[in-house]
Amino acid sequence: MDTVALWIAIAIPILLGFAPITMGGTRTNAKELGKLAHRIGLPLPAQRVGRIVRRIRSQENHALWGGTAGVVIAGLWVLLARSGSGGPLVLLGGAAGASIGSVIGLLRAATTMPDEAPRIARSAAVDATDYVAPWVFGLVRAMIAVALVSGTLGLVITLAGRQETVTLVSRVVLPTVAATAAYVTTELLSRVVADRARRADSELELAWDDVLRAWGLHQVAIGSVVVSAMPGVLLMTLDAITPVGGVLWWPAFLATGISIGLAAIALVCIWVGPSDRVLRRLWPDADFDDVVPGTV
Amino acid sequence: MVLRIDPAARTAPYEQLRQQVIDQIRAGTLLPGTRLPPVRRLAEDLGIAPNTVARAYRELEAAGHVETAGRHGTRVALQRPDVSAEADRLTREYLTAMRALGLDTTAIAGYLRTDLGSELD
Repeated sequence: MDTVALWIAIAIPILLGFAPITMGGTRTNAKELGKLAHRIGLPLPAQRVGRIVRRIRSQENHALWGGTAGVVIAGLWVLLARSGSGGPLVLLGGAAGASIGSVIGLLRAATTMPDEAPRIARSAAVDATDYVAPWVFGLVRAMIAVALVSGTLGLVITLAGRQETVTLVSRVVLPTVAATAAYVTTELLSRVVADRARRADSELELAWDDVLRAWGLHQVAIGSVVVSAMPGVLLMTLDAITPVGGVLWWPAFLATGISIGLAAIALVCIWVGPSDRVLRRLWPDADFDDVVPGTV
Repeated sequence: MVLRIDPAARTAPYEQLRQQVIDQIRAGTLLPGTRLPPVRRLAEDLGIAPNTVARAYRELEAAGHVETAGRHGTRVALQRPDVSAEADRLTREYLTAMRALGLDTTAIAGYLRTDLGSELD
């Protein structure tokens, strides 16, 4: 219990890291907003700040709510498993919840416009692969396949080894269910992100929206890979995996190895961050440099 | 590669849409085979009625600029449209507008002769 409390305490500043610009409140941190604009590579002229910040505020508020829900769910899970070393799962749950909340917040951002204002829309249809590279989706699908195989192996191992039901549920069933849920969420959100309408009165606002969607979806996809690694990684924590003779059952060992390998690739992706691919794909000829940056 | 609707403009929204799509196809911004946004999505993006977008798409299809393939959506036609269909449509529009001004056939022909005179010679 104390360990979980400690991990929750560690999770709080990490969750706030998902809301650097508003911290979940109504104020805007101009310095952080400027940093974000610089990182994205788009100008932020004074007349557009309000509309763009509304999107970011919605995204950050939902990220905090999603993250909190993730921490609570993961905390309950760790308590159920009676595992003293399950604390990192609290962080993982918080990060996954915040990523999903972030995308939902962006999609729910209210962008009302006066009736007489000009409106613009992209003249070509977009799909999810405009926002996230196909190889990332490939990684997500490969990982869920490995997770399902790992879950099945875990089931066989625990049943053969006559382990406690609580072990079966917390280290095999729940991780596999979580992996499946993460995968379904990623597939669902990728379609919704591509299909959801947005109101904008300038190309720059549309471009900002595209980048925010791409970053959010990228986070969800990578988070899904990390969550889906759990069934494979947890296979090695099952006592029954060491059968007579102390030899590891090679399929389980292989599943764990692949899970760790794919999760490592995903973590490198988080570290590297999404590229400017979305701008190159959706705005190949746009010249936003002539938009005069304003004070934020 | 954006479509812009100005609610304050005198031109009807469907016509603004139709013309901009044609301009982008002619300019090569919208390449043959490019999928256009679904009717409902584009209508929501632009804050106009789905019927308005559907009408623009219908006219674009009738003129051969785009092709609609049921669930696969609307795509820019792979082949350039038949110019005669578009010319017929524009001629009809012109005649309708001129007759709305109260001009008869002789007067309309007179205007055409005046404007095209040097080219006809």
